[in-house]
Amino acid sequence: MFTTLIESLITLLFVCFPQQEPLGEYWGTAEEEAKYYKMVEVPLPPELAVEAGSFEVMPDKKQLAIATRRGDIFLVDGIFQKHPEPVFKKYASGLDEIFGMAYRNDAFLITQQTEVTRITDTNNDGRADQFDTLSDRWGFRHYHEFSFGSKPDPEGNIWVALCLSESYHSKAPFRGWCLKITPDGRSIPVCSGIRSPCGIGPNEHGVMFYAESQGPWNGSCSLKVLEPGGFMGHPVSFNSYELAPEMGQPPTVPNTPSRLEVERKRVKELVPYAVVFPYKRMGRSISGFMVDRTGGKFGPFENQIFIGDFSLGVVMRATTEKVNGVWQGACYPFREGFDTGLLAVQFTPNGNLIAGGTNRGWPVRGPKAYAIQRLDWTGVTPFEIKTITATVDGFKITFTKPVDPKIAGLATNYQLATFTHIYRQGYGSPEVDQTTPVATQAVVSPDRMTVNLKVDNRVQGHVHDFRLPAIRSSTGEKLVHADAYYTLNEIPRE
Amino acid sequence: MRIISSISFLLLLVFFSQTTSAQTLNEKLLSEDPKALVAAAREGGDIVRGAILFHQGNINCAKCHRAQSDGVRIGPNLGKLEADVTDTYLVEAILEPSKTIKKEYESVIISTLDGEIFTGIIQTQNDAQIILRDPAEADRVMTIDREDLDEMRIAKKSSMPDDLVKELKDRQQFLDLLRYVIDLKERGSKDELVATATQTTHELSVELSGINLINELNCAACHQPEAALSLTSPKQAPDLNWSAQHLNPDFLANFIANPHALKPGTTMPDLFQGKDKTSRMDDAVAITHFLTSRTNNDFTPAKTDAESVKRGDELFHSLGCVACHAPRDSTAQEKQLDQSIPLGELAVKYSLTGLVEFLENPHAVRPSGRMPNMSLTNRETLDIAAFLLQNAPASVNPWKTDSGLAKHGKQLFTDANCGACHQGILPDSTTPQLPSLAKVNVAKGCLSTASGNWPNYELSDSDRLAITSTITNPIKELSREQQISVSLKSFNCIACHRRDELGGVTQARNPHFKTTNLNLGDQGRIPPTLSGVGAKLNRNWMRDVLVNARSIRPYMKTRMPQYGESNIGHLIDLFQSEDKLPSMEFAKIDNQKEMRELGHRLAGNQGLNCVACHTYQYKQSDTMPAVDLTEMTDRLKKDWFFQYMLAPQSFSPNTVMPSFWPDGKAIRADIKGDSQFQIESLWQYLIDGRQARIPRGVVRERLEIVVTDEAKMLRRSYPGIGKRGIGVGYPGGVNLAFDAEQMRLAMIWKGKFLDPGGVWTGQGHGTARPMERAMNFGKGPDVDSVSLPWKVDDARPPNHQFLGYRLDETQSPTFLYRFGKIKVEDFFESITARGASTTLRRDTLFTSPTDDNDLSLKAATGKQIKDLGLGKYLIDNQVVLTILSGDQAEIIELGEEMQLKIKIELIAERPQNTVLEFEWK
Repeated sequence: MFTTLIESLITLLFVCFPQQEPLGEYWGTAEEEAKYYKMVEVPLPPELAVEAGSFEVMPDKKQLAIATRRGDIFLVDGIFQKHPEPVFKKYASGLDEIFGMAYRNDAFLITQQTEVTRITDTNNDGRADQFDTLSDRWGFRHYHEFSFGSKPDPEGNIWVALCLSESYHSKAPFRGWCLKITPDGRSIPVCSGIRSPCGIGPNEHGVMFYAESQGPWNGSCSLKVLEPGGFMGHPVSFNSYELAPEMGQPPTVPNTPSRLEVERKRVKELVPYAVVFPYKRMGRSISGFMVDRTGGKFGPFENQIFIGDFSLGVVMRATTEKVNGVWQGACYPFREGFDTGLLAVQFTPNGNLIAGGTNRGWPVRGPKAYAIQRLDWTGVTPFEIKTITATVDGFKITFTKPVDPKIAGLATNYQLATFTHIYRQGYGSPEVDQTTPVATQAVVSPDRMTVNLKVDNRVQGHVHDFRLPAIRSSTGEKLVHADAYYTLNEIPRE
Repeated sequence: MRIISSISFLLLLVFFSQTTSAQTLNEKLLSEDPKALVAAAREGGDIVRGAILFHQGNINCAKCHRAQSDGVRIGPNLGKLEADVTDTYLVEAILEPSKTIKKEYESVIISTLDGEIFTGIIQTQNDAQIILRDPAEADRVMTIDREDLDEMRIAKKSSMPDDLVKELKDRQQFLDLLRYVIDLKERGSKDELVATATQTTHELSVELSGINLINELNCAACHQPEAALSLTSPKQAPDLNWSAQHLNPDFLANFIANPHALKPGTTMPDLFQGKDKTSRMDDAVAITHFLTSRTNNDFTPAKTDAESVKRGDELFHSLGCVACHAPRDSTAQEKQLDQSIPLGELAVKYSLTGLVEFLENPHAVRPSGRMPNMSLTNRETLDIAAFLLQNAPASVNPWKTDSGLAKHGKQLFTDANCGACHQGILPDSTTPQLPSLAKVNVAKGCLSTASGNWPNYELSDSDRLAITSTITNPIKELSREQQISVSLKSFNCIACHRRDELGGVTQARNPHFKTTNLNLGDQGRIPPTLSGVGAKLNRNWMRDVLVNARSIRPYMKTRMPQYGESNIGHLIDLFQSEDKLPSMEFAKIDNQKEMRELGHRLAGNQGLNCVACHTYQYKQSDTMPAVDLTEMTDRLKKDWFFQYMLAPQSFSPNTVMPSFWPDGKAIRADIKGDSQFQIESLWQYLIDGRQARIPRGVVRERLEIVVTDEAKMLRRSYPGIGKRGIGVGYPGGVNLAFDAEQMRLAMIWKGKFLDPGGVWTGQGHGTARPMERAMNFGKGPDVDSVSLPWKVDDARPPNHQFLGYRLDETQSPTFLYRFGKIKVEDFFESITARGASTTLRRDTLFTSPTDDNDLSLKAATGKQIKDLGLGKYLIDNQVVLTILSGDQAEIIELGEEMQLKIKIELIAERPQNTVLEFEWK
């Protein structure tokens, strides 16, 4: 019987992680990226295993709180300074895989596997002594039922995205759901259909999103909006609707194999995946993300989403917009070459980006068991695609620096391709239904920062893949990254 | 006359004494029948482990049992022993080397007329001289003139150490080693074990040396050079804007006035030839005023603290600074060492911040990269700067720029053509109209010994000869190898690396190359050879090493310096196109999956045990941190890997890596395939890189949560509990696990606390495991209704809610939960009374808003519960439970399980507690 158990466990691991093919090529841009964003090592004390799962800047803006997979919360001084010389103090320990942490009203609000907890140091000795369970409403029967919690929204609610059981089933209450935990500990079901989340937080417009991983019903990783009453695409979690009468009847079960664009017409609760990250080219396990609110201290990408990736150890950018009432947007390569699998990112008071995590458990390109690194903007502006947004007849592309108008004004310098994924119960999906839209006109704005691109044959529901290797800045620079990917769920009507 | 010449240092043997037991391993082994040892070795000796020991740093049999650099041997070639050498002879030879010594390996002791004594093996002798080799220092050769000879006799002791066996851990290691030596003997060897490379340092040829000097002195700044020179890079002078801002102006003035006096060996020429002392100083001061007039000078003498100085001393002498510069004593006084790049008097030149800034990014000031970036952390630069500047003057006279002098200085700067080398000062400085290099008059001007209105570089006669010969017999075209040679000299790569006959660590600098792991021998501290490096390293990897400071040798204290892509980027192309290996055929890959499996086996300790020495994914082996297996295929070219595997020493003379396929025959012939097939399998396995499956034998991190003076806890999955378990270990060695889903005390145990390996490794799919055998209690909430108890299963009881916990000053938790409206505060602590063993006490406090007489507390469950009277109960014959609060308990039998239940009656709003104590029998 024991052997059977082990065998089934092994099978399970195999089914969950059939990733023995190469992890994915490097973008090959690290050296160039380093000119603009310097990777600063944060030395970690050798006696501590700091498997960062979540970060929070403390109110004094001098300390960083680091919460770990091993269940510790450290308060760390000296990590923001130019040359980090961190001093670690253990604030709390013994917790269970912390993937979500905020500090509000003299207390930590953390999300761990089992629950959302308010943690206080009532006697002010620098160590926590009071641990109040705010909510443990969800079932927790398998180690792979990971829980990711947001920082509180403006009303103080913590949104918790709950991974499926073994990332395939829903064997315990609310697995595959998002619950909203109010400050007084009520647990409000938000939406169903989650598969395996790895990050949760607001987008640049303050709307709560989460990072979903490739797998069943998810052809690739994507950022999705946690729409109240919505369905995030994986129907196995429908069994918890009976626990959430306020959510009404479970949605229609989507057909498989199909296309998301087809099924969203049949299943009205199905929320299209806002920003699809093409598998391997743009990470393969997107994770923690945060919006740049540094006011320009981190360079030209203010108010954009910065998101890590666990498998490939990269940080990418994303932008979102609401078109015809539906969220969609683009993702862009940003910085590669982190030493470990990234789980969480955090902007510092000085406007740098801390990123950290571990390579434990899954295939990860970064060699270190755990690491924390910091990206500091060097003050030199990279020539990059800043944003892509959809227009009535094409796309608007904004750059970080003025473009060479002669080159940028030539529509043939914009190589476009589209594809979508099979929406199906099976694991992941190849890219399918490829088309090649044609840019017919490129109009450079007077300040040369923006190009309005007229595009024929766009395909609703497809990822639009932009390749702009020909574009040059007005001083002749190449783009640091010539690629970007826009998920066109809706075409603007006007 | 006596000449003692040391051809090179080899590794210094470092002995770790491990033997403490009364009888040493050597004695133990000597007491055994050699035949039995041979039989045991043949039966159970691990040939692979033996091969590793044979080459390892502290035993290193290979050091003597292979030909030395000049082909001479210190110990016999074990592959070419006489036919009559038996296995048992080998046992004796290892355990008692002096018992029988082969004639040609006898040591002699020579005393000279001067009374000096030399011991060694006769290498050669003739009528005039005897040349001995020192067996302890293989490359040390002693030449004794026969006329000095007083006496020569045969030493009774073998040069092989008697006590080599003490370097072995145990009998098994001896058997492993013996097994390998027997194999060497039986296998025989076609060729000698490959010799270490000769260490004779060759300099550049005269013509290349001339090119090098023309570059380093930047002759091309004034004289148009030959086209061939454009393939090499001249050294630009420092950015004087930076110097004027940060350096001590007094130093600048003195230096300009007398460069060769202040910094002997500098490439800065004396521009005031023929001028007297006063006027050259006046001119230099004026130029300095001109330079400082362009900026705000921020020089202040360094203030340093002793701790920082000490750390800096250590860093300066281990990171590689002394590969080029002279070593210093603890007060930073330079020690004389030939071929050192001069630094001058740093303490009067740099401020602390100035030197830190320079060290952090030397190429901002000296763009030509001769001074490399050492990838120092900020702390390291501070420490090194503190060490170098510890003798800074307490104060200096403030420098006030005089605008009149500055104006004069500008004129002097212009007239002396300073701007030809020091760019960025005069906006429109042009190359002076001087003859091209090919047409210079060598009898007059810089190259002559005459004095005149030209710069004086203080050239030596050989410098002059080299430059002149380059000018008079110009090389029309530089071969790739010549370009490489010039660059290796320019950037002084050859101070650390050797490429074929060029360069290498000199004997005088050798001791300054250090390692963190002596087991690796010289390989652990001497930077690798560059011979054929282009055939070895993949282009991307080479680029990462040269341009991005990538490093895979954590054991080597010397850092690979960074010279800047623009300066040495061209070497990548040169190496890659110049270095080639003879082509070879690889084994056919019919079944890649099978080969990978085999490779995985070979890498592990059941195969060739690569993991005995090599790091796997940052997880170091317990012997030495040899380069990471998971980076091999990223790093190495496949044909190089193959050829290296067959004969490691032929590529890397210092390596302690044994060949597992000596002479092309697999020593693990019992494992499938011939050598080509095995090596290909290993390659196919390694090609997975980071994802290559963990080989057997990689040392896994052992985890334990150790409890000392306060309680420790961990919320995780525990055996028999769902996922919401909370383990607590208390001082005194009592432990429990609480189930926060069913609100129950789930298990208790005595002794060590917890192994979190199951939840802190891999994905965390296991359980946190008690380190000792635990007593498990049955499922279901401890506090429940008497009349309507929950029907127990694995799920969550519907009326119980976990509320958290609070910690007291010993970090012991009080668990907080609710059953319906009843609030429960469940406190556990360890009690250690004087003279008694530690007990676990449970104090459960109930508060109800209403009266309640339908409540029970499950105190324990077990297969057998015995009432001992006086509120004491024996649980499963292991633990005595005492109800300290005096409540009445009842033993209930429920099929297989017995329960001890306490009925609780509560009065509204009146807190009431029940106290239990668990004591281990």
